[in-house]
Amino acid sequence: MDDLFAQLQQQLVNGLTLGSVYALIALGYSMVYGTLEMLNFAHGEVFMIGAFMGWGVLGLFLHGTALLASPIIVIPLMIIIAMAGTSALGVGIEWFAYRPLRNAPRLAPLISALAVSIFLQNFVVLTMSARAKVYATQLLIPMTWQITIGDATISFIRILVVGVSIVLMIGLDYFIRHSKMGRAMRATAQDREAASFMGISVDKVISMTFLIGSALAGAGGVLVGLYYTQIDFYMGFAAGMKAFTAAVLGGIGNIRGAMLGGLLLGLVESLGVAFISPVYKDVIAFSMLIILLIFKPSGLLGEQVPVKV
Amino acid sequence: MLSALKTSYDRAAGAVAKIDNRILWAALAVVFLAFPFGASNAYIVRIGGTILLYVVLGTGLNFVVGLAGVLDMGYTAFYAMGAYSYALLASPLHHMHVSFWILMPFAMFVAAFTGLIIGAPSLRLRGDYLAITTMGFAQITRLLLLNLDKPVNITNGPNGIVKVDPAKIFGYVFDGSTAYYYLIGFFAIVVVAATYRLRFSRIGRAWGAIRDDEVAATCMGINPSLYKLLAFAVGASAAGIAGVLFAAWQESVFPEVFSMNELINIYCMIVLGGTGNPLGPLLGSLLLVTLGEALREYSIYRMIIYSVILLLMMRYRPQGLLVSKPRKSEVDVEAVLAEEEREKEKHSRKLGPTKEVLLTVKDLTKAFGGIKAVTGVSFEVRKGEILSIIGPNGAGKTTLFNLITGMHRPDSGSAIFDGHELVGKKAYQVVKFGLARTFQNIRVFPQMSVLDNVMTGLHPRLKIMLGGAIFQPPWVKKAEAEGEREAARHLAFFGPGLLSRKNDFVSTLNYADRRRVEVARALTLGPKMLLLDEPAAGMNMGEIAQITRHISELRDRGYTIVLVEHQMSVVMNISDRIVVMNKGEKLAEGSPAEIQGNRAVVEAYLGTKREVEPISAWETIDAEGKKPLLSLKGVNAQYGQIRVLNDISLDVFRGETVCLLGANAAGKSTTIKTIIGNVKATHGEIEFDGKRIEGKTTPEIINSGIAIVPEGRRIFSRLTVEENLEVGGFITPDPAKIRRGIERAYEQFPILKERRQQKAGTLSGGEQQMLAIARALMTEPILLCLDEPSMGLSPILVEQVFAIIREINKAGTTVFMVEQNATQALAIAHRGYVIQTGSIVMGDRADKLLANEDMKRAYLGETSA
Amino acid sequence: MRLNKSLLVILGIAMILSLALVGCGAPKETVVRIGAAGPFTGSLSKIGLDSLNAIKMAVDEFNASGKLKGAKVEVAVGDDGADPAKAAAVAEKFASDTTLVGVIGPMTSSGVVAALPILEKNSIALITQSGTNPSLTEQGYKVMHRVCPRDDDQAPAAASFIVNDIKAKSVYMIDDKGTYGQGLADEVEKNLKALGVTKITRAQITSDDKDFSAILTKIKASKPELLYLAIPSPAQAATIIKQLVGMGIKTSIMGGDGIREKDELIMGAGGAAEGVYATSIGPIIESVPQAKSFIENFTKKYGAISMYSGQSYEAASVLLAAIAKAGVTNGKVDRKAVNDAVSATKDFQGVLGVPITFTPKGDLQGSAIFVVQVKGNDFVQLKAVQVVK
Repeated sequence: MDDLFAQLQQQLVNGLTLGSVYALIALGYSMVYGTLEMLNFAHGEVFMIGAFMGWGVLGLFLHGTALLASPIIVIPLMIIIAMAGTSALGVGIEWFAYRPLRNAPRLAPLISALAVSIFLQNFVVLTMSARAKVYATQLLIPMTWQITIGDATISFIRILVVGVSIVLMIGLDYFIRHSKMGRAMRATAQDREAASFMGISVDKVISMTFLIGSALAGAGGVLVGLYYTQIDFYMGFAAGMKAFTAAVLGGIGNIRGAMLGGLLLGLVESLGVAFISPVYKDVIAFSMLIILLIFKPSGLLGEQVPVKV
Repeated sequence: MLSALKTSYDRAAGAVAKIDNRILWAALAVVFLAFPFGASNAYIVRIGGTILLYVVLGTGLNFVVGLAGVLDMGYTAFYAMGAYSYALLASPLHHMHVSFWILMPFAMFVAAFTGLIIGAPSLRLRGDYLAITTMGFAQITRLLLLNLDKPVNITNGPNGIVKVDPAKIFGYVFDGSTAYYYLIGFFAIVVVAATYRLRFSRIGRAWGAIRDDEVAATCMGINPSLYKLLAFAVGASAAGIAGVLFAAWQESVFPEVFSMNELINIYCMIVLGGTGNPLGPLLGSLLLVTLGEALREYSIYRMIIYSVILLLMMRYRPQGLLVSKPRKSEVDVEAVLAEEEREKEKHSRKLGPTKEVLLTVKDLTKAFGGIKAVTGVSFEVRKGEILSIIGPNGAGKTTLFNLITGMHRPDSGSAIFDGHELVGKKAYQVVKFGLARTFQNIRVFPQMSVLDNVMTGLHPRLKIMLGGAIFQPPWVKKAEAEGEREAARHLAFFGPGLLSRKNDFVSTLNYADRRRVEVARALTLGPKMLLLDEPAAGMNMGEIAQITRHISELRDRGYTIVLVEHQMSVVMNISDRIVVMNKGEKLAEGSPAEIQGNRAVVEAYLGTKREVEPISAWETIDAEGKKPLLSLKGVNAQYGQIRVLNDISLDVFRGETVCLLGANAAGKSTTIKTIIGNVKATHGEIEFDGKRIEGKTTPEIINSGIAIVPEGRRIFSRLTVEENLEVGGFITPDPAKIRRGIERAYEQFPILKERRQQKAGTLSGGEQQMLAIARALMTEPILLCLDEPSMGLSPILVEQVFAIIREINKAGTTVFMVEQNATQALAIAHRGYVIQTGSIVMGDRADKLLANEDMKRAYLGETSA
Repeated sequence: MRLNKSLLVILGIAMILSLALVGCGAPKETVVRIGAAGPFTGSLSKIGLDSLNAIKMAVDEFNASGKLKGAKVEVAVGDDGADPAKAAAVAEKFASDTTLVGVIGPMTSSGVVAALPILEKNSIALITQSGTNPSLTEQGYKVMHRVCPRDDDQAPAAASFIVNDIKAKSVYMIDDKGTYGQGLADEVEKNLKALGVTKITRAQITSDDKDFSAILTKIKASKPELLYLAIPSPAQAATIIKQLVGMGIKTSIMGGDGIREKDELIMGAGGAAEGVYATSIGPIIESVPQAKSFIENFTKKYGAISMYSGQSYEAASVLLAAIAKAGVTNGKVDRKAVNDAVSATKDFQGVLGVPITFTPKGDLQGSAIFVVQVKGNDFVQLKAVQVVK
């Protein structure tokens, strides 16, 4: 019984770490869906590219097994450069692959997104090879740095992952709620035409949406790299699918819903692995989603949109 | 290069188009049959077999996505169910070797059953939620197949099932790609033929209707959940067929075959080929399989090329290579017209109102989130009469329709129609009692032909189910043909012109014709009672006269008609009785003459005949010789193919209030939208403040000093009042200036200050209108455009709003306003224009316009009596 | 029924294009081809591309050596994306190429299953470099060969090492629910039980998992003496090991040949892999004298070497030697002669360091299983266990 309780504590910590990463990626899905009502299937790949960019930046500071600068400089630099890179990528994807299709049949942007996703994956294989890349995390943060609370061990890397995610999410939430652009984004999400009547450039707001969502995914990529230490070209697929599930769980289009959905999914998965079976963790995650949607068809925090006659 | 390609393509297409259809089909058949003999080796034949297998898969998915419009992301689960059903029961794994021909229908059943299990809980979800749920189900299915080898070995887990029995027929064992090419080909022909049959059958029409407009489909007696489930099941059985074929051909199955990638593959095929076209999956699989094989040697470059091709395809041909075409009906037009003529003769002895009560509405009440839309409304409709329901916008008329027709469930009250209680019934059930309706905003099925649109009305009466639709026995053919003639006859009711367009997509019709199609569709339901929601909205004078005649003719033929209408010319001319609603309550009831004499009604709806307070300011605005602030010269604008503005010219001078009057959809809103660049002018000049603005973007135009209060207010309901104001000041870079603007707004509208932290959606209609005005004023505009500021407001509020507009104008802002409420709008305006079907027909000083009898007749529609 | 006529135009164009594309590559008299089948795209493309590069290198070296008079060998690439259905299509494609005489791959056991009947019908020799499932060679196919051990080969060796050398009494096993992982874990479990180990816990992960904290938490609670990793991905193993150390779990770790890869395991785990054991077919490639030039050339050209590159190079070398033995007659190499020559391979000395001889079923005869351990930045060979057939 004690054992079980000890496990529960540790699994909650695990779930929180996993969940905060899901939440970071889920935000991008949710924001794009909120403004464009489209599923950006290429978002997982943006996350993957972010991880590769972070790896590249880390590589610049490596000489053999020696780190050329303090981790306090290197880690933020990795995150910031990856965020900058992925935000440019996200804006570029929107401009090239989605904007021309804004009035096309609804399946067209979906296929376009899938094509972008295939392209990015294989582009990475072509330029970086298909091999997994290793983050020399141990040079940045010794693996043994950890604290123990009750029966749960929390490594410093976890604290970093959760901490950075939470800072970014709070930042985003504040930006969306209190900045001029944030208000414009919310207004555009609600009524694109009316927003344009206010002199808001809808195209710019949509670009901004992709920019922010992709930047968060980029940060997520670096954090995942730091935490799991190995990245590969295929990591975006599974992560993207989970994040998408998280976004829907929280009520797609809703920023706080995405955060909540991500955390919840992470927790459920961790607990499912611990108390049921790892191979059934996706079964558990999806079952939860389906059951939740049956009882709450627009997700946890999503708003019910009445049919207008 | 591209143009050369296009010319040669056009030339080839032209040449092919000249050849007889039968010859082409025969050629296709020969190519299909001869392919294995012409192929140089077994590999090419295998590619052929793979293409055909994907034709089966793609066609199955096309049922769901293309025909029924449901985004099914769980499709591979059905494929897997088919394959595993076969492999489990025809392999050494469980020592069972059931015959292929028994397992084929069994697997179809299992797949279809899985479809029902997955579909039933998912289908009530909206589009993308449905996608993720079905995707979740597919993942679950795949994981179960992968993991059900422990604790008891059912599926053999990751090792898959090997040594699966090949297909056999009369002792012949299918072996090698050529044999399977023909076997799969047989099934491919079966499923493609089924698409051809189903597409334009009762089932196919129901699917198309749900895909195009679920609400309207429901009002055609179609139960959307049932038909979506049916689509799921039909699609799933095709996937089941493909699964069995796959397992028998490969002689093995593995869980990884049924991955997300496979689903993406199938989706790409049908989207590329063209969803909704029966041959789309064929073309899509032909292209993608061949492309995949051709690039196989290039390993990594293969996927890059593949993705780039997909991207470019979507960019330049998002609708897919093959477009779906409307059905070509061969109904005998002459015979139908003759029949309609006889029908007309038959009813020359007019039927009319009786004393018999057909519909009794009692105490109907409905509130939406605290806002009472309809409160305790009671009235009766007598058989054979035309009862009009009138009242200001937002009075609850449409809600009343929705309550009666089962679109919304009332909070209390009852509605008894012909002995049936309607409350608690779903919309598709209500239809069956003999109640048909049309919609305020036209709801036709844009991707169906005119005649097929009308034929959806046959749905409740034709009893053709899946088997009948696919096999088309003589009785089905007969019933369909009779139904088609009947539908055509209802089109013919509106004259031969509309009937002659029976084979066009309904989306190519003009506004008035689409209205007529909607009415014909309702007639085809064979109703006892017709509920027409603003049938004359957006029609010009001639068309209004026509529809008025048509409606009274329908009464002559014995239909009972309930009419919601703003056009007084229609209402006063043909109504037997009128019910007036205001703010959700019944205000009055009586004959047209009684209503016109009712003071309360005149005040609430027809407009208070107040003394027009003379606008002293207007004397001071000397337009002569001055350059106008805003001027439109010969402006045209169109939505797609339909031109909405026709050579519009008007001027607004600095300091003026100018109003543009006109009926619904006359082009008033479009005029405003064109001014602010939301709709692009296709022709003509727009000048504002000395600068040409017709090519500029909306933000640029707003920046140059125009602000807009949009129609229906369009406040951001999920933002707070203060946030709405802040968004209104978006273009102002200085935060302090925005702050000042907000303070000014609060001074002007104290109620907004009180509610500043409230979500704007919780405000009342009048408060929302004030917010919309305050929001527009945030930019301190030179010109304020208001689009129907009085819409949906009670008379008192209307007066208030107009008083506010007047004050704004007095304070120096030029006002351009679009209104239906002519009397009151002109009272505060200096000048006015009247717009009719996209053209300005009148323009004058407000007082002169108000006194102008022509204007009254043209726009207000005085009774001829 | 009405036919969409523009369809026919597009159809016609597509048909011509497709036949042109698929039909190209007409046989030239002096060319002999060998097929390389494997996942060169998709999630497993890493192992696929490692393998493909090695095969190409073997062929280039062979052509340069002039061992085959009067003909040049080419590689026909058949990407199957690890999908058995595509593997069958690839096999059919290879079979249709009359100049093609042997196939390296497919790399997944399910792919081999799908390809075997087609290749058997056409007498094309198949040598898989990584299809380890025992059942593959048990079905009586004459063309089936493999240069990798069977899962049931390393299992007895691993179990005996765990019991006799590590002396672990409680074992926690993780596999990836794939044909390789699950098969290996099943066999090891069976052998451990036979040797008297009763405290065995099994857990399964999926191949795309990256976060193992949940499962490691359970391991932490159950405190096993040994963690056995039956997964085909050294990168994933490295992640598990790193997270294990991160959580402060102390246990011995052992894995199958699937994790024995210097670059991804040792470098990837960044020091955490110190002391990890692995079983392996053949000695460490770096210690094989014949492999020296291969390693040098390969790393020069493609960067780091992996287990798959060595095994693929070996498979290709065996096949090429057989082609040379079969020889060119009338400008052609006979498929059946090549297959016979492959089957008759005896004591072939390649880069793997074990003499290659096939059993009648197509397995490696008398191959040795080596146990290695991570020390510093490399594997160190601990002992060799002879496999008894």
